[in-house]
Amino acid sequence: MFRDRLIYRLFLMLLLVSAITMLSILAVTRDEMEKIKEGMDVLLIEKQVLNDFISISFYMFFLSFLLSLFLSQKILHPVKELYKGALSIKEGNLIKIQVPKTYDELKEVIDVFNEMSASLKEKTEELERKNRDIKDAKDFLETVMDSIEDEIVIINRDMKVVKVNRAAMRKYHDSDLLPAEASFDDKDIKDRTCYRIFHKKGQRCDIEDCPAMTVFQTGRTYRTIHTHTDDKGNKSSYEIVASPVFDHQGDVVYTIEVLRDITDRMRYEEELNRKNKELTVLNSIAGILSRALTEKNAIQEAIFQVVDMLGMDDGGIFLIDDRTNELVCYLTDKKLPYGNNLPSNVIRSGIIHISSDMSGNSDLIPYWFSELGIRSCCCVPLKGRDRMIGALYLFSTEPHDFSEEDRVILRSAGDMIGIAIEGIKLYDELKNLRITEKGLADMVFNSISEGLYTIDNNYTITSMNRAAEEMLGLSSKEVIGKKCMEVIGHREPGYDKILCDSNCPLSLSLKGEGITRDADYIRSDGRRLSLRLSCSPLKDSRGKVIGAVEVFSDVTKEREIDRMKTEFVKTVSHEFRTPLSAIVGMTEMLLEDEVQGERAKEYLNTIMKEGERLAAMVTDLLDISRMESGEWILNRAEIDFNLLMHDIKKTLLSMLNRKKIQLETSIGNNVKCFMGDREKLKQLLINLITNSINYSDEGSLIDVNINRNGDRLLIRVSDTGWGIPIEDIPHLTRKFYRGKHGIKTKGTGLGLALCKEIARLHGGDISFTSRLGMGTTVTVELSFEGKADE
Amino acid sequence: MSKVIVIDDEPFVLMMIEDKLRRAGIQVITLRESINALPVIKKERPDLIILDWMMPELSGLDLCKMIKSDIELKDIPIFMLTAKGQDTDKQLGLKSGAIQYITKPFSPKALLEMVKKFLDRGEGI
Repeated sequence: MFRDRLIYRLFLMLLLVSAITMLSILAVTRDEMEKIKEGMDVLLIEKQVLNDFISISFYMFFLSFLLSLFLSQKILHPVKELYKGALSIKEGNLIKIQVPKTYDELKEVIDVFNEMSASLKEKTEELERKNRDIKDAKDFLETVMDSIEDEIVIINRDMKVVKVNRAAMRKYHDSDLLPAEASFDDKDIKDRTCYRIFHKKGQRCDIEDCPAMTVFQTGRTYRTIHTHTDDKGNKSSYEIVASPVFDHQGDVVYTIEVLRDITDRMRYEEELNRKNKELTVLNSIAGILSRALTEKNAIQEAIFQVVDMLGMDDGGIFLIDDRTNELVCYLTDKKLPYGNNLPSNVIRSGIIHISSDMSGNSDLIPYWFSELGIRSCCCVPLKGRDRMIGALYLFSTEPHDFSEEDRVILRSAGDMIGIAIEGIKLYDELKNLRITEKGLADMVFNSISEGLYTIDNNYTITSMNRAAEEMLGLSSKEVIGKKCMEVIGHREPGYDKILCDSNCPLSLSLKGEGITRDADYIRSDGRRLSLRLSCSPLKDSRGKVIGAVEVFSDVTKEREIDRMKTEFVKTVSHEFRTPLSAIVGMTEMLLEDEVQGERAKEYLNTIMKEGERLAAMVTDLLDISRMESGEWILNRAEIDFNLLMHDIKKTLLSMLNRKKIQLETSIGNNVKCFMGDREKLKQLLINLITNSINYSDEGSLIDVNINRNGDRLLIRVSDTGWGIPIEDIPHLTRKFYRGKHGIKTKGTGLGLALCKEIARLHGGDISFTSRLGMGTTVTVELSFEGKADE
Repeated sequence: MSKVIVIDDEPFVLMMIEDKLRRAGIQVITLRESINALPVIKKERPDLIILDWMMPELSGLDLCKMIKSDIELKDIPIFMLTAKGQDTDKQLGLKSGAIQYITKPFSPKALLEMVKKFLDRGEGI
């Protein structure tokens, strides 16, 4: 398009020039033609024409030249301007070409040129901006690098340092190798190899140990702890993180090493590790010793720990035996005089003794170690609470250097072991004391026949002994932790009213009073117990009431005996009063001669009979007394039961006759040689038959059957009397017991108790079968003791 | 002539009292069984009853209560003559209606004095 228009313009310009030339020629020709017509000489005409032609051509040329000059000026000015613009761009000046009036094509060229120039200017400005940014970033990076305390060193593949930060400069500036202030461009460092900077003697690191080399080889970040040595031989530890820097092709071109001086940290860590180890060992010893209270071997274990930590061979402990003034090996019981020897000296001085190489100084070796070839030893005093209690002795068959730390550990271990051993002794003493006290207390607590339970200040039961459990029918597991009023709840003697409301004896004891009283308790099985309670406050060591204790005894039997004794006294008194009435009254009347003759004789017989009755009662009482005191013994002799029954019938005849009771007797032939106490068996039979008479209606029948069954002699007394209420049967042989029928009859309640004892003395027992209204059979079963020749 | 019924299961007591009172001119009826006493009392209408406590089948105390609850017999005075010497027994006996409580052993002479004294104060001999 542009080219087409330019050609078009050039064509127009040529056309214009041609036209002008043609017009000029035409004008000249017409003039010459006019002159020919007018008859001019041809030659002259030719010459004139030539002159005219030359003139015209000259004019034409001149005109064309002017025109061309004009036209070329019009065309070439913009081109010139373009040229200038291009030169300007070449010089780096991006200007805009100003052409106020030009041809279209050139204007387009200039416009394009201007656009190109503007674009270039923009790009250039952007580049400049980016360059500034890069510079800023570089400055920032340098600032950051310089701000980092760690040393940063950038190393190229030739192992030359290309960049260091300020920290690295400070580190190495005092050497000749790095100036105080270095930069990336510093010529001073460009040819320096890293190992010459880090290791002043310039020895190259081993390849395996060189972080930069490793990064170049592997292309990966490498971390290591490196030791640098300065020219004075001082070693510094560095924690190095070496990272690769890649070029655009992915090749490692630099290694950035960040070096942190951890010399102090390493030293602290080393110190810490050492302390830690020391503490671990001491802690381990402390842990072992804490078990030592219950385990004597723990002491040995603790010694092993110390021995192990110090690298010794073995050791032992010597303790002062105050009684014998000797040192006794704690674990082997071997003895050493407490005198002039190493352990004794150490104990007396309280100072640790250390011999790193004693080379046969046998004074320092306990005699039973002398054959072990000990070369080094240490002896540490063991300190108790307020005095030295012994010494710890450690030895080795090799010389041994003891550091200051070893001394510290030994001192600490000695103190701990000393306290532990003293603790063991105290614990053992306390344990023995406690075992004795507690065992005794438990034994007493659970062995006493009295029931005992304790409560705290809130009436919660805190303990209960075995006797209380049995008496109350409770389990201590069930009641401990419960309120006493909920599980026990004593009652007023003889009444159902609970004592817990206002008369609680324990509440008085909680106020500090001791109190004794009677109370009843109803068991879960319904049995009622009579208890004698004694309540006291429980006080702690400062005298503060922390609860109360109730000690109680089951006095149910005693109460029953008391009741029966009271009843007995009443009965005896009644029984005594009746015969005494005969004696007193009839004697009085006889003395006043109010009766005479046969009547008087009858009176006297009555007096005698009632006197005998009194005597019999006294005999029964005495028998019971003897029976209870164990003085009742048998006088065995062969018994003729037929004769015995004959005598008894005679004795009881009047009673039998009065009630018209028939007494039948059947005696087996196999009882003839029975050896027994005749008087006591007579008493037994009289008691049983008298009971049958007393508890039978008139006209009843009593049958006495005496027979042998194997090695037993059986005496059966059966009647057709009133019978015995079933609830009375279990109690019939109890002293002073009188059944429901007792109110109707006279008696002391001693007869059947005596019968049972007589049967027991004969190796037997007594039993009852009875039906109310039908009669009773009493069976006495005795061990058949025959004559020796039978 | 005053009439006294004596009830006791001990024959010698009956014998002794009968002898003593009869010699003093008092008519005495003796009974050994309390269980059969009530009809006799009703029939005889005694001036005084001397009653033992401890007797089989029917105690003197119960008999006393029966007499005192009988509209015809309730006014007959009763002496309780018993071996039961406790104070509580005495209270119980007097509460049941007896006007005199005498404990065994007793003096027949003293008993006669008490009987005479009572009968003199009442109907007289």
